[in-house]
Amino acid sequence: MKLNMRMCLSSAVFLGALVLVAYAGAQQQTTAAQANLTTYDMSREMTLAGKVISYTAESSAPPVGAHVSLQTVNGPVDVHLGSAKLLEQNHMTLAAGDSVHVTGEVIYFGQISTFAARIIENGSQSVTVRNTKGQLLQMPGVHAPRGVR
Amino acid sequence: MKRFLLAVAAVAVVWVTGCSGGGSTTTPPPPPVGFTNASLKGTYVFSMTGTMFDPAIQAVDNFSRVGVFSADGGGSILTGGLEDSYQSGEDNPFDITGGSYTVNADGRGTLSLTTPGGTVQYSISLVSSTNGYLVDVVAGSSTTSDTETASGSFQLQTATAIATGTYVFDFSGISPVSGNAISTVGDFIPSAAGSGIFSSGSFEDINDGGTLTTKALISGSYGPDTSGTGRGTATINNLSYVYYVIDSQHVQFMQTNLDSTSGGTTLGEAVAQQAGTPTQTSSFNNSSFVFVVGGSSTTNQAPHTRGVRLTASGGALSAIVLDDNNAGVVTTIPSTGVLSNGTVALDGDGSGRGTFTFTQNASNTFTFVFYLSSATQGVIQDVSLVQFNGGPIPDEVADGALLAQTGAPFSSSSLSTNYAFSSSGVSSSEEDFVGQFAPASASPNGHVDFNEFGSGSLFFNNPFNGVITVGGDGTGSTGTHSTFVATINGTPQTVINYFAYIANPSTILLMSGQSQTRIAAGVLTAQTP
Repeated sequence: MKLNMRMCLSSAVFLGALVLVAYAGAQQQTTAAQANLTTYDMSREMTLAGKVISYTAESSAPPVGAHVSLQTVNGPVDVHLGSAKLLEQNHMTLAAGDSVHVTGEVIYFGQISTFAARIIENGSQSVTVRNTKGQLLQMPGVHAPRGVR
Repeated sequence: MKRFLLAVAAVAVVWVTGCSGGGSTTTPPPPPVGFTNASLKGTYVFSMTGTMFDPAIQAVDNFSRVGVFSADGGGSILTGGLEDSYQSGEDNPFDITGGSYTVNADGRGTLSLTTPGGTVQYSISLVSSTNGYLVDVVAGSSTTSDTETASGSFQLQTATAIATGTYVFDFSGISPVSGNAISTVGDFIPSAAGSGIFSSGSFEDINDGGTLTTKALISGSYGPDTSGTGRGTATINNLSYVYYVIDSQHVQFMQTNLDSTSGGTTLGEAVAQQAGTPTQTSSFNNSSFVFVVGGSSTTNQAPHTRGVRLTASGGALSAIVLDDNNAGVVTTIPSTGVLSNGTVALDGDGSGRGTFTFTQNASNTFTFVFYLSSATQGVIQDVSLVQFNGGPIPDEVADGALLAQTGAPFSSSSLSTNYAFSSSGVSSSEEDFVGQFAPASASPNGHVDFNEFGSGSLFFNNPFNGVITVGGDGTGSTGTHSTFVATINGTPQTVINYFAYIANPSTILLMSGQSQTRIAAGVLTAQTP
């Protein structure tokens, strides 16, 4: 019952977020709402519940890194997890049909929105992939070329 | 006389064109470039930074290495070298006790350096007998202690003492003090050759995980150790560094503070400022620049790069184009044409410091701080701001090399015959490439080695085809991009699309572009055996 309540609440909040994202995406230029969604805000966090449709460690679609596609009560949702190595080190596997919970929120990378996971739970396993500021853990930066003459 | 020579040249061009035939042409095979083991002879300073599985913390960690190795010109590494390896939160100096290397005719090859800690393998690509690029190719899996990748470069050492004058520097990486991604650019003025203190007029600009420090005064000291290798230690504003002198113009630094929060340290080079470095904004006269900065986003810690071309005249910027790759989402600003509403200002105090500022719209202003080491080179740091948690912060921690465009217009015929290729970036995890190719030769026109962090991630002698397409006059001044496409053979085939920012026919900066989830920065450098 507690889980169902949480799922209902999460669904409502998630639906609201999707409406907001859809509204923001319909604008010709970057709106204030969209600009605010480029950064992670703990007050917007929600928990999604769903079943894994597919998992990819190296997605061909941005943002870079691991993604999991979830079937939720509101339909399929693409969730950005970040570092696949971090999941591997924590022995987190995600197979089709697994029931998982994801704590996170919708944020923008440039013009693309995604559900950014902070914590993913699969059964008794839980892995934190972002810190409370929304910063990805164990995701390397890019080094500009060194030794350029 | 000049007219006569011009006429002769024109006739020669017509003759060559007429005799080249109008039918199908046969592309010659890649010419022998001419490197041998003898091309690598002497003492070289090397540096790199990368990612490893750190057994000490049972997690992925950043690491860096700097040092010197001596090559005998015949395939052997001599004893007497040194390296400082920063990993597991601290700097560990090792003697280099031996090793070996090979150099192929195309400048590519292998290098192994042996220390009491073991032997580390590298793939290399020579630019000339004085410098080249390298990639760490230690094998393993993500659950063993020996998996790592890194990229860097090496330069012939011709001096062992810091010289006098003004040096411009760019250090970047992970701060062992704050644990944040950090970029520090600035200038320092040694009080004396060899050892001394940093004199007044030494400044630095810091972006420490989104906290900016602007033009802070530098105090500190420097001096050699007793090894006679050019190694020394320095303190810059209470932070500790080890350095290796490359020559009278270049010094390689690595920070050595103990890691208090998270893995990694900073690494970078200092370059002597040359006579003729602009000191007044009015010195810019239709001066065009390109730069690529690499780092990570402050708001989400995702890998982030930007590539820019612009023209500076007096205090105005024009013909501005910025490419942004944020976690694989690529945006070009403006989407068509160029921006023309920017400013450039030099501080005019001899530091070489200045700023570029330009605006896309009311919510998007880009600002970069730079320090020039000459009229054509410098270092640059992104300090553009975004709103975050109610206040403005820099939207990325990133820096890189600033290069003037010289020798324009550029065309495919003005390209070099052979290029060394170096690229580092993120595609799920860190990946590092080093190779060589001949643009005018038939496909595949080169070979590349690369290391993708993780199990089964090493690739050697992979044929690849490198195609440079020069857009417009090659300067990008009308918003037309030049591109570099690296098609790497294999199953599956890997195609990496780069924007190419041509500084001159010998140096082309790269930033990964559309149609991929990859964030990378690199460089093509003309080879001269």
